Amino acid sequence: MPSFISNFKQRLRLPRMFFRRPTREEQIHGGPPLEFERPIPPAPWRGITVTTTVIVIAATVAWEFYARSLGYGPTLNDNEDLWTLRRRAVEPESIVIIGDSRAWYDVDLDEFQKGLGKRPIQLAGGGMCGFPILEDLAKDESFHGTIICSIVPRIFFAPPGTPPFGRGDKVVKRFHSQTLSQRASEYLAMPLEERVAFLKQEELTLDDYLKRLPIPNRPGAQVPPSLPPYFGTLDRERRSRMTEECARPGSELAKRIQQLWIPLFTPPPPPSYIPKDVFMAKIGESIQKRFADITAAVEKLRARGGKIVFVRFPLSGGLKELEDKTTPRDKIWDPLLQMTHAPGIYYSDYPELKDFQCPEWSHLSAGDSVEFSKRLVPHLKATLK
Amino acid sequence: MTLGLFEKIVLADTLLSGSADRVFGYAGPLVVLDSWAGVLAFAGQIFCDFAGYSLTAIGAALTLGFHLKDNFRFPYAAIGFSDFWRRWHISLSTFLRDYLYIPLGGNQVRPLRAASNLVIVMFLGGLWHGAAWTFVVWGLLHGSYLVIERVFRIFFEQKPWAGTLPVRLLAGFATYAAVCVAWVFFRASDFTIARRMLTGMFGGHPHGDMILTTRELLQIGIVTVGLVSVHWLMRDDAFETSVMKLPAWAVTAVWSVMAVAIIFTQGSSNAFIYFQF
Repeated sequence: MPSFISNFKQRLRLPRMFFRRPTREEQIHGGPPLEFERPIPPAPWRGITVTTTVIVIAATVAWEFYARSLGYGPTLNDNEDLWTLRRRAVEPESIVIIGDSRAWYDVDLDEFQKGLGKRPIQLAGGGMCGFPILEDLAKDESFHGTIICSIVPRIFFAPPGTPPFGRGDKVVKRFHSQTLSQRASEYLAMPLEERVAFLKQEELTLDDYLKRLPIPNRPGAQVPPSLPPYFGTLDRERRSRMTEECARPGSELAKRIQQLWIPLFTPPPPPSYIPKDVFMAKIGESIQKRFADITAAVEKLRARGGKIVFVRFPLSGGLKELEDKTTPRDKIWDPLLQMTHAPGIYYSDYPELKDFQCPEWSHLSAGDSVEFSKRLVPHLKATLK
Repeated sequence: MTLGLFEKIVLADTLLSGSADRVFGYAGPLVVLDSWAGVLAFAGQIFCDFAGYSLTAIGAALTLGFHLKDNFRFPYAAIGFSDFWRRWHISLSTFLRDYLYIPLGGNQVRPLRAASNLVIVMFLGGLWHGAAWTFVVWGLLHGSYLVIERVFRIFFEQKPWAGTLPVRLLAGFATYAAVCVAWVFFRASDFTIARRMLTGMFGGHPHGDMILTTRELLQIGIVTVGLVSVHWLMRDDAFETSVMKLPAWAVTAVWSVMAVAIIFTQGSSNAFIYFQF
């Protein structure tokens, strides 16, 4: 007579708890079992499972200690789902910060809140072209707030198909198409990322380690420049702060990052398959089209009471020389303000803003970002009146 | 489930997808090596993505007491295209066989009609993936492969040398190469890209560009050789039978390595390729 438990299991159709050897027919494909049942190979599964679990936990803990020994700390990953969470927080009259990583690192949300009376929403990001976000906010009929838009010409004017434009486009698309599982995944990931140091999607992954292998490339190979290593932390409001190690004057990390900005901000040579003059003409057309598109977006925003202010954040050293040379102010910044009739704040125009030094040439330290924000607020208030 | 996630997160998303995307997204001509590397990367990526997804689903279902059948049976060790379609996306190929090929008359009709049945079925199989002419060409190419294979079988199947190991290996290699050529149309978003890729693969751009790093080429090479070798070693076994042959310590080691690799890889949220179909 079947026991109570076996009867119960049969009635509930619980999974098999015991394993059997597969038959010969089942081992060879094409076997004929009428009622299909996957054979579970006979093995000491309990021992295997326990040992595997112990190995995985030990390796993970060791990896965590190793990551911390290298100077990494727990912080959120900046991804399109975290961005989307902040984008959802935008209300009709919000103050929104968009653009590249300079607006991301150099703005202190507390100081802006104190000065502007409203806590801004941080939607800028590393290497991110702000144009797709500007265009999306301009299309959003419910939004008539204020946009603070950082301008780094090579990033804000990056044409479609380039990585900076792709980053901006990707977050906007995610905002409009985020699934429930992606949203849930972000909520589950955040507490983990805030506690575990090795969870760095752009720094400590297997892929990143493989990229760092010292394997020489073929002569003539077109290899994209490397991205800078970890030098900032991020919180749930997407406030980014430079690490102390990077901010330390003369640190090796800051020096290493300085040298990585140069190839990233150097205009790439024309592709081999397009004549140089044709390529340059296309770049020119693309920039003119972007001017027109920005103007259209700004007019649309302004038509329903929205405001925008463009900001040029500080930069230093060799990167400043390079940007001044390749994207001079009179070629991008001045025409941008003329065409859009929007106010702009160029850091070097103001004595209280122009002397900030960026440790790695492109961003302010966490401490300086607070002071800079405090000094920037009166100018913002004046231009947004 | 661990193997499925390993295939998806580590092999498809981390080791292969970046190279495949760059090669197929490059607007200029590429040299032979980079063109083939991109195609091989995509061949590995689409298998690891879809087979990984299927395995994960099989594992998840098994934990709930549902026994799902295999969707892939080591397809890159197929000898011939009919063998390939018995091993690749079995749920779709079985559906096409039972509800299209057999109702059309299957192979129980005159040879010319049987051949046209194959082409019609693969044409519709291609169209099932999306309303794009590139998918149609991919399907027609596979239909043509099946017809050519049938002709070969008529002439050569009974030859004494047909079943020898070198011939089987050669046929397997030819099948894999032809499947890779067809993948070009599957992955390319338009015919301009497909033409450029095929021209590059067959040496039409001797002075083309080199866009892959040596590290990426090595990754693609190692994963491709490893994947095809595993398929050949396991082609006549079920997955479970292969696990049964391993000692407990080896199962533990392989399982641990895969689980640790998944954690260290920290996969970002890349959607499965087949979600778009």
